[in-house]
Amino acid sequence: MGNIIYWETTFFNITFAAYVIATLLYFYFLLSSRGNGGSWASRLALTGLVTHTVAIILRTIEAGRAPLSNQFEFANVFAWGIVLCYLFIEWRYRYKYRVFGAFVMPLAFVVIGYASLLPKDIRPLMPALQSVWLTIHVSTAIFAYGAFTIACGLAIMYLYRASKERQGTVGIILQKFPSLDVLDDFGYKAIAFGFLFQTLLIVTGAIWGEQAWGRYWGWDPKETWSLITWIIYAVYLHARFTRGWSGKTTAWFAIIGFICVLFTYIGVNMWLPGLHSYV
Amino acid sequence: MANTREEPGKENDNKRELKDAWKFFSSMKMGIILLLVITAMSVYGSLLPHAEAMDRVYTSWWFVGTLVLIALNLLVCSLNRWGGIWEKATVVRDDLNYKTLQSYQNQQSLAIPGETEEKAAKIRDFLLQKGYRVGTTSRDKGFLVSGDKGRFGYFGSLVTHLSIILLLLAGLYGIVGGYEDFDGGFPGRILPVENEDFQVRIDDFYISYRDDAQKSIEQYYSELTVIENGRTVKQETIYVNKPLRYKGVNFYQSTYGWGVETNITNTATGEEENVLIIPGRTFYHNETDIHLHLIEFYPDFTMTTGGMPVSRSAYPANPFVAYRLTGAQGVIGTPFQLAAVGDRLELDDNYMLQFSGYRNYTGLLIVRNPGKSLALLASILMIAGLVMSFYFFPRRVWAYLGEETDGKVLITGQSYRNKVGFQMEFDRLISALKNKLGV
Repeated sequence: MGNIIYWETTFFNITFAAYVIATLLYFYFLLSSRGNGGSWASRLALTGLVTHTVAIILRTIEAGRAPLSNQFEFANVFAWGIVLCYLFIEWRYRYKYRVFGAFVMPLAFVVIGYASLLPKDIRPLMPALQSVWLTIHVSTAIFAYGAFTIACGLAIMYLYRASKERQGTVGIILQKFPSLDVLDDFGYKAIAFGFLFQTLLIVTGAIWGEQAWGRYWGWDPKETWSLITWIIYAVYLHARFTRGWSGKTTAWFAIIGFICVLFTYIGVNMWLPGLHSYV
Repeated sequence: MANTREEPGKENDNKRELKDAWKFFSSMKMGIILLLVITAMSVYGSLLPHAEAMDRVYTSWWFVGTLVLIALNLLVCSLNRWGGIWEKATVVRDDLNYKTLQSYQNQQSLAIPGETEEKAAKIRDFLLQKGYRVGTTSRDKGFLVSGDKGRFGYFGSLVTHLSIILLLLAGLYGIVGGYEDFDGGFPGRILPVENEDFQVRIDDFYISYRDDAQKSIEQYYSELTVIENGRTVKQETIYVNKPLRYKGVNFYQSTYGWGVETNITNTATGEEENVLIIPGRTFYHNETDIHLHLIEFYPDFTMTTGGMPVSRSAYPANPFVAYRLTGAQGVIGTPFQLAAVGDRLELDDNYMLQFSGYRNYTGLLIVRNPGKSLALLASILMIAGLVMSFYFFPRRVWAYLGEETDGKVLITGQSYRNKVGFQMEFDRLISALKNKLGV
């Protein structure tokens, strides 16, 4: 038992180091004139993802349940989700858009950094959490939030490129950026995927809420904020098809949406206690 | 705005204004504005304490009114778009000219051997094989082959929007046709159920504790029996996450509490009286004219360093009772007295008081929500609609041969939903076509 905890911690620390180095390598890739170090950045990120997966599996064994029930455990799988979604995109588009890494990996690093600051002890589940819906509900959050994080990174890239283009300065950084259209399209795809999972997140939460609390919707602060997040991304999805709304406006919505995600996850617990106080 | 035109009369202007207003109301822009308004209201609600927010925000006329406006906007918007969507989904567009085709993002010119008709047939067969719906039109000295795929996706947003309307209706139906009640009691009690011809008996309630230092609670259990026309029709042990469901009424394990078994004995006659008192309640003892107010029950009593009585856990390891006695002359002794369960206390010269034991009662939430199934159906529709919108993206390809193309075939493709993905797909499509034709 003690041994497993030791190995979980070790793998977590290796993961943390791998993500830090991968982030630095993505930066190096971004700033170097010929785009060196990109493949090493990907390799490090992948190594981190593998050790991260091992750490999560070890914690599952220790706890005897899916490790998805408090701030640390969610931050842990949240970071995992970001890297997984990101590496999937890298692989799916044949490493053509590695530059995204410089904007996504820092966010993964921040989330795992947040996780590393939280108490990691394994506590038994309170009665309300003892349900198969815990695993289903929180798993949907991993993918929703992972995709929204990537969309936020892409939106930052979009705004950066748009402002540099207006100034007419295209340096070594911008040369590696895809066009605004491509950035917008990737952002849309990430948000579409995230939005589908955010919907699943709310629906599975509603099914579980009906079983545990007797109502499928109750305007609990966490529920309300997940709805607010959903609406902000719904506005994003519609704004793209509205004439007169530039790509910049929609990029801002992608960033506001991500702020809502973080507020739902962290801010609600800090300032708006409710039934969801444990996560 | 109305008076800038010269000729039409006032009546026409009014009509026009109304029409414009209607158009704006049913527009996507209006939808976005309404969504932002409901967001702002929800943010405000989430900042208030929950009970207050329920009262002042989520059930207020302006919040519900905005939801109704959203539903209406969605409905009108869906109806307006129906015709266009239907046409897009059912008709392959074949009225494009060279200039339009040339403006599309993905294109490739191919020199394909064979007669004009042969070329068209080859491309047609290829696209059919790739799952495209294909139409061919002859043009002067050439042809236009039009293909489309993923037209299922056109209906995605429609399905999603209708699902939201259904969801709001489900919520309304649940509020109008349902109720929420709270009841409970000690084992043995039979609960009446409002407007139903059955009753529920509480057979038992117990807590399972973990074997850890804090004696943490693992689960709360209530054993319930449904009785209909005097017959037992259902027996179930419910716990948090597992309610009892019977004829659309659901019983949830919601809370629990303690009752203190209190024994008063006449020391002269040995006559005993036993009552069960819930903390917060007062028992009046007739013979002594004393009010016994039970302030609090501490299952695992201890004192904080500041001298405050608290319970370390919910496990009855060291049960204590806080109480107050009030006689005809006022409070007897101190207004806050403590006694361990089992202690024998003097009530007055003739009567002894003893808190002899404790028992748990269970608290159940009783809910009927007839809108639930509709809400679930709407949710499934919403997910289906989103999958249709996002993953069955419509895409179109054309192959054109005409005067302008110099004997070559111009192949173009277009997708509004998934530009980068379609670009890759288009490249693959072209290389597969080249492969097949050997060019």
